[in-house]
Amino acid sequence: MSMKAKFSHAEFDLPAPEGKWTWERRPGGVFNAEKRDSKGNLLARKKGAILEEGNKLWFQIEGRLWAGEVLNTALSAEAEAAGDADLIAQFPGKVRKVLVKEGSEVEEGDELLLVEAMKMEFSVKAPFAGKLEKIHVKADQQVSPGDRFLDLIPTEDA
Amino acid sequence: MMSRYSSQNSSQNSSEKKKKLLVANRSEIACRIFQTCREMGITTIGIYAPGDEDARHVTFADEVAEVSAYLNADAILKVAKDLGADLIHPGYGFLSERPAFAEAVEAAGITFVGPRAETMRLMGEKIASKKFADEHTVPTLPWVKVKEGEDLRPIAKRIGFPLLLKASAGGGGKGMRRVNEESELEAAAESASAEARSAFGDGALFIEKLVLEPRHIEVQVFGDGKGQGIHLYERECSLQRRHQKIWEEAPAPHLSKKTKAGLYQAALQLVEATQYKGAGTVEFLVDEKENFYFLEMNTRLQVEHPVTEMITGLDLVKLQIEEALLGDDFKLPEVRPAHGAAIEVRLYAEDPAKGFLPTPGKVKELIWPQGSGIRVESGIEKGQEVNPQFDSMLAKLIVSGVDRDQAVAKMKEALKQTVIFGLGTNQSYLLSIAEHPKVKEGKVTTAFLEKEFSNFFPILAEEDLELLSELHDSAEFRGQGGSLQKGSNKSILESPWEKYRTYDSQALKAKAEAAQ
Repeated sequence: MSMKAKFSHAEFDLPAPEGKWTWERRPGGVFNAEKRDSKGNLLARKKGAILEEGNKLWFQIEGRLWAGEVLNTALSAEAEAAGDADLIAQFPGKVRKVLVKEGSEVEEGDELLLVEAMKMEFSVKAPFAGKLEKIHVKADQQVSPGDRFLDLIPTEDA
Repeated sequence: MMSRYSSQNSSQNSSEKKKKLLVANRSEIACRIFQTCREMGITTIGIYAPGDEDARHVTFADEVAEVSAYLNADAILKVAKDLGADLIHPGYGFLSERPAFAEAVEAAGITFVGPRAETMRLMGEKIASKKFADEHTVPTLPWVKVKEGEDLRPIAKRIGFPLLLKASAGGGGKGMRRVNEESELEAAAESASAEARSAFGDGALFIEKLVLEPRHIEVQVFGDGKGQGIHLYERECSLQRRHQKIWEEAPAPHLSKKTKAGLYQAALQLVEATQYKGAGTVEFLVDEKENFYFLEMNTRLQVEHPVTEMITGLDLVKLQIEEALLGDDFKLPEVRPAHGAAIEVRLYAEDPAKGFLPTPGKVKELIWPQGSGIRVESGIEKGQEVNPQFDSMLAKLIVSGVDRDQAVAKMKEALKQTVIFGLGTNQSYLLSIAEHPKVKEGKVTTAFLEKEFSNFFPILAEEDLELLSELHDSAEFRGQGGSLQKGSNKSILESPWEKYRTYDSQALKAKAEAAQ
C-alpha cells in the first residue's frame, strides 16, 4: 500500500519509509531531523513541525507550510473517481451569481458560479468538460461546506 | 453575552476617572490599539460580532460587548455610551473612513480618534480628492467617475486601455479590477461593483488610467489639525496580490533622495491644505522614471503602520490618542532621522496555489517567531476558530534590522520559526517571496507578484517527502483527532530529552503489531 500526500494543488507520492532520518521531538510538534550516511556523516538537517489528525496533515518544513491530507492510494483513487470536489462548497459563503444554465455544455475551466466568502469573490470553474445536468444553488443563497453547487456530467470521450 | 459587560462603569465617581477607549474593530488591529491603551493607563472596550467570540481581541479587552455586526454604527455607539467610552478608535476598514460615523461619535460627546469628518469626506471621495490634489499642484492620473450600471465603454475608450476599475467608496483592493481590453469591461465592472457594494455598501466605481508596472510608495503623515504637519518618511508597498498589499517596507529601497523629498513635499502640501488632524497616509504610484502620481489619501491608521514605527521610534497609536485627548494643546513630535529598515508581511488564511481561496479552520498549534528585531501583531490564539465571514488576515509579522539586507534575512528567519496548524496559510508564499532574488535586491513593482507568482505551484522536495513519509509512519506526531496509533505512544510519556530516537525501533514495533 503506497501513500500519497495530497495538497490543494498537487499530490505527491510518499516514498516507502526506510529509516533514513532520525529526529528529536520538541514541544509544539516541532522536530529537529537529521539524515546521516552509514559512516555517520551528516547528509541533511531539517527543522520543522508536524501535526496529524485523522487523515489531515499540517507539515511545516524549513518555514514552508503544507496543509493537506495523507491518503493511501486506494482511498485517493476513490476521491479521483468522484472527480468533482471543485463543485462542492469547501467553505461557508454566499453564491453571488450563477453564470450557466441547466442543460448547457461547458469546457474545462469555464466559470460556472461566483461565490463570495471572507469579503472576497471567487469563481467556481468546471473541473472537466461536460453537460450541466442540475444546478442546486441560486444567486444570494448561503452555502455551507459540503453543499453541492451543481451536477456536471463529463462529456464522453469521442 | 459576556459577563464583563457592565454599565455601572460609566457612573464611577472617582475624581481621577480613567479614560476609556472603545475600538470599533476586531482582530489584530484591535489588539494593537489595546496594547498602547494599556500602556497609557486607558481602559479598553472591545466589541465582537456573532461568530467572533473566540477572537483574541475579545480576550484582550477590559470590557466587551456584542454587536450584531462591525458595521453597525448605531449598536457600536450604544455600547460606547452604555459603557462610558471617552474615545472611539475605528482602526482600519469597517467604519474608519465613514465621515457620518465620525460625526455621530462626536455628536454623542465622544472623541473620535481620527481626522475631522470633513477631511474624511473630501479624501474619501476619490474624485474630489483628486481634484483637490490637482488644485494643490500634486500630480494625478487621468480618471472618470461612473454611476452603478452606467455604460462605461465611451469613457473607457477615452481614457484608453489598460485601465483600472476601482470602488469609489473604499480601499484594500476590494472592488478593484484591471481591464486590458474592451471585451473584459462589462463583466469586470459588474463584479467590481458587486464587491464594492458588499464591502462598502456603495457600488459606484471610477475608471483610472493604468500605469504599467509602477511602484506603490506612500508617505506617512501626521497633522496637528491647524495646518502644521510632519511626514514620517515613506513606505514601499509594491508587493500586492489581488491589489492587496502583503509585503510592506520602510524606507523604500532604490528611490532617489530627490524623489523622496518630492513625495514628502506633495504629501505635506495636502496635510497643510486640509489642516489635517492625526495620522494619515498619502499614496502615490511611481513610474520607472520616478515620476509620481497621487493615488489617494487614507484618513486613518494603515495596516502597515508598524514599519514606520520601527524606523522612526514613534508609536503612531499613542500619538493619535494623545492628540485626541489634548486637542489644541497637542504638539507634533520631533522627528529624528529614520534608522535601519523594517519589513512587514501579512499572514492570511488563504491558499495561494488555488487563487487565494480562504482556508478557515481551527488553530490547533501556534508558535510565533521571537528574537531580536521581530514583532508580531496577531489576531489569533491557539484553539480559536477562524471563521470565513471575517477578513482572513491572521497576523502581521514585522522585522527590523540595521539595513534592508538584515531585515530581509530576519523576515526569512521569522517565517521559518512560525508554526500555524489547523488551517491553511500563505506562509510558504511569503517565504518564497522573501527568497526571491528580485525581492532581495529590492527591485519590484506592483506587477511583480502577478508576473512571478501567478503559477505558485510549490513542489515538496524529494528529501522532504522522504522525511514526511517517515514522520507519518512513526505516528509520533498524531494529535488527539488521530485514529491511527501505530507503534507505541509510550514514547510521548518518556523524557522529552530523549535524543535521536531512530526510525528502526518504530518500524519493528509497527511490524510486530501488524503481524498480530
